[in-house]
Amino acid sequence: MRRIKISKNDESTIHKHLKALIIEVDKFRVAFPQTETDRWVVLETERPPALERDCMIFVRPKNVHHKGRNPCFLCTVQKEERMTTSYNLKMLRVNLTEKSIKTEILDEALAKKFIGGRGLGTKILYDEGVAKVDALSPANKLVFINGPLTGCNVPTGGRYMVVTKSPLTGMIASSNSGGVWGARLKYAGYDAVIVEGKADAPVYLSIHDEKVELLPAGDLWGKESTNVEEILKEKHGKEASVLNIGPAGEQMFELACIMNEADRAAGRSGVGAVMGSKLLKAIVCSSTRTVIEPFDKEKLREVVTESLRKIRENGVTGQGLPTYGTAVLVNIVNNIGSFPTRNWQESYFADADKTSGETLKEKYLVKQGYCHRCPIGCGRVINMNGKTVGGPEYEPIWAYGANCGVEDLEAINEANYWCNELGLDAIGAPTTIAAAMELYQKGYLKEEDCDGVPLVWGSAKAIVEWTKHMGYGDNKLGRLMASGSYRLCDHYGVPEFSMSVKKQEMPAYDARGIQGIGITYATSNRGGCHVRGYMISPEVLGLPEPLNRLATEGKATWTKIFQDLTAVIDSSGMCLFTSFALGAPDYAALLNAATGTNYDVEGVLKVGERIYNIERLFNKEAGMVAGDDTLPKRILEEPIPSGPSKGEISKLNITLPQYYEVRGWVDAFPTEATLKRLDLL
Amino acid sequence: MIEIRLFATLRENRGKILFFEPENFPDANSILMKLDIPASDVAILLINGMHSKPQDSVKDGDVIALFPPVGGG
Amino acid sequence: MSTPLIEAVLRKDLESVKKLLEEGADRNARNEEGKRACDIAASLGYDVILIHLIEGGCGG
Repeated sequence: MRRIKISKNDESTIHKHLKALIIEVDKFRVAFPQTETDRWVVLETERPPALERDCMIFVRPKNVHHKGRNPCFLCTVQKEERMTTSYNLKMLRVNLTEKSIKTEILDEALAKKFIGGRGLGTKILYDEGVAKVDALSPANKLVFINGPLTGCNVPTGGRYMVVTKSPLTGMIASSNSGGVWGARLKYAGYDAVIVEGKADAPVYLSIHDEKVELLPAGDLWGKESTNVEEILKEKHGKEASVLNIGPAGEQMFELACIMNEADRAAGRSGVGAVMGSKLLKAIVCSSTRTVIEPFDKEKLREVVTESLRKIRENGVTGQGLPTYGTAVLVNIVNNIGSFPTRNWQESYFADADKTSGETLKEKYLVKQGYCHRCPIGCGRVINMNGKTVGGPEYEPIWAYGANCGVEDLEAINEANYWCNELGLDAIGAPTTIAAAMELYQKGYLKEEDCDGVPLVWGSAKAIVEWTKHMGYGDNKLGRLMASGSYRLCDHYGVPEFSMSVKKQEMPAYDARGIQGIGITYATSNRGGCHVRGYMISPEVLGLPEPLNRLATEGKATWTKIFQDLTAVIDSSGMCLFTSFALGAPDYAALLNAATGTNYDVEGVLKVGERIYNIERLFNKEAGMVAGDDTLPKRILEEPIPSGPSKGEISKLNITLPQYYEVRGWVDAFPTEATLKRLDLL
Repeated sequence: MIEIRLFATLRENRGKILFFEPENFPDANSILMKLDIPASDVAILLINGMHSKPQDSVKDGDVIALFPPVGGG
Repeated sequence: MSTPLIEAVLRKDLESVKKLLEEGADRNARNEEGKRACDIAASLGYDVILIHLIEGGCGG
């Protein structure tokens, strides 16, 4: 790419309210960033070969009309330079109501300020007023967005985010996925696809480089993930990557997710419901390009070599995850007595080993699963009754296993498979089943409500059948359950049985036995979530430093830096699992070499902090209140009854005020001084 | 008896659960030596569910859990 | 008995912390209360200093 610096001559007729203008100059197009000080114009073409200093060009904004005329103005060229960056600096905006597809320029300064992915997606939605809309209305927007490292030749450089307003929580949703779809979008030439409005009949979007079209999806509607993928690959080529919703998303269930490659998921926060509300069934993406040019190719190669060495030598990324997958955690978390069991009524499951990573490997593993450019291969490809399918991660193994009292790994494998096929959150769906089992145990749900499959603890049949009822929405209780554990329990007058924060279900670590993860759960901007500040790493795995899981001192500071660095990684396009081996200096070096930024450790952490705060601002606009940063009553008031962490309780009352102080927040929201420091004012 | 639980690759050629007489094993290190497990192969050592070190003492009725370098998710 | 690194943390002196680390200061040295520099930085809420004191990742 090239850019030229121009000075405008007189007779400017550009309409001053336009944000970004596509300008045709003779036979080539340029983009004109609408900032007062920056008159750089990006050229997307190699013709003409050079523009000399002081030469005059006409710049005409495309699709702009003023008083019936298409204005044009005269400029003088000041200088020209080559530009490489791993951003495409181009986005697609698809309006399903108007049936329009437009290309937009991504402003490079804005991109760098929020990196990409989770950060930039949130910023775009915040600026466009999405915080206040109804999540399932046409006014909500879905941003499918890469990071600058997506598609690059960096380890795990293939991830993308789905950012939107969540129908589950009413707050920001940013759901991360791997596979290859994100890389395909990047190679096709786009950093993001923004989807607005609502189609009048089911559609899917097809992207192949510059050829982007909305096509009818009537024959895909109702179909499951594997089938959708097969049909679309048949039509668009086997190299194409398919992203889709299942029947759950079509019915706008709050636990609906978005799938890609049929077994990778943007799992949480109901992003699939938003896609379903727009009658968008799938996005299929292919490209001719296979390489992204970074800012400094040599430097990136050097940094990548060092990063790869660290990843291979690290015990977690080099041995543990490749051998056992994330399921290796089952026995660890159980043996510290913080493995929530039977809807968090207990925290030790005697049969945990039957559902462990060791057992999965012994009995069902076919091979490792890899995402784009990943050297780790934590994915599990398993044999499920003679069929080779994507296998379960630690979270669904726990949620369908101990949390439902189930020891049958074969049934867990099958239930997880149905989450993929039907497009359901594989944490939210089983934890809602667990909530339903407690409702049944305590008499709120009766046998006649259960359609022949009682929701009893330990029932292998129940976890499979009720996943299907939730995904297909084929009975009344299934549809209610598919709206999430909070809405389910609230319906029966006992919302306290929902083990959720901000209405999003908590994952597989008991915050009573692990104090720092409790801070993460309570303060995560997207609700009950562990990956946004994975304090399990120091508190349970001893990485990068071992911390006493029961202590509170210092945990607030640790949580903040974990959250801030995670925000950087989530916005960059790399996988969070690399951070067992890599640190802030590594991510700064990767981003600098790819995009031309100049981050040091403080700088990159500050960007992460900025991202965390813009999410909080979005939530504030969406109606979040201070009391939303909390944990369920059971975690705050009922000690773990037995097992190695017997008697422990969450001490959030101590750690939360410390956390706000470290963040520079008062009553859960950033102060003006904090926003100013982060350039958010 | 001291109950020793082995996990992941530490199970290879050793089994999953072992029971030792407490008299011969005053600390976790003595157990590692008996099982021929180098301390560097143990990333997480739990005594009754609490993170511990090889030099920590053990007694009758304790449950020791040993894990090699593992993962997250 | 404290260490220069711990003293620098107590002063909230980021530049000295960085310099001492570059010169090979022992991150794991403890004071008389058994605390390391990173424990003190964390309990005082000094997040930027803390991240410099950590080797390895803070994310996943």
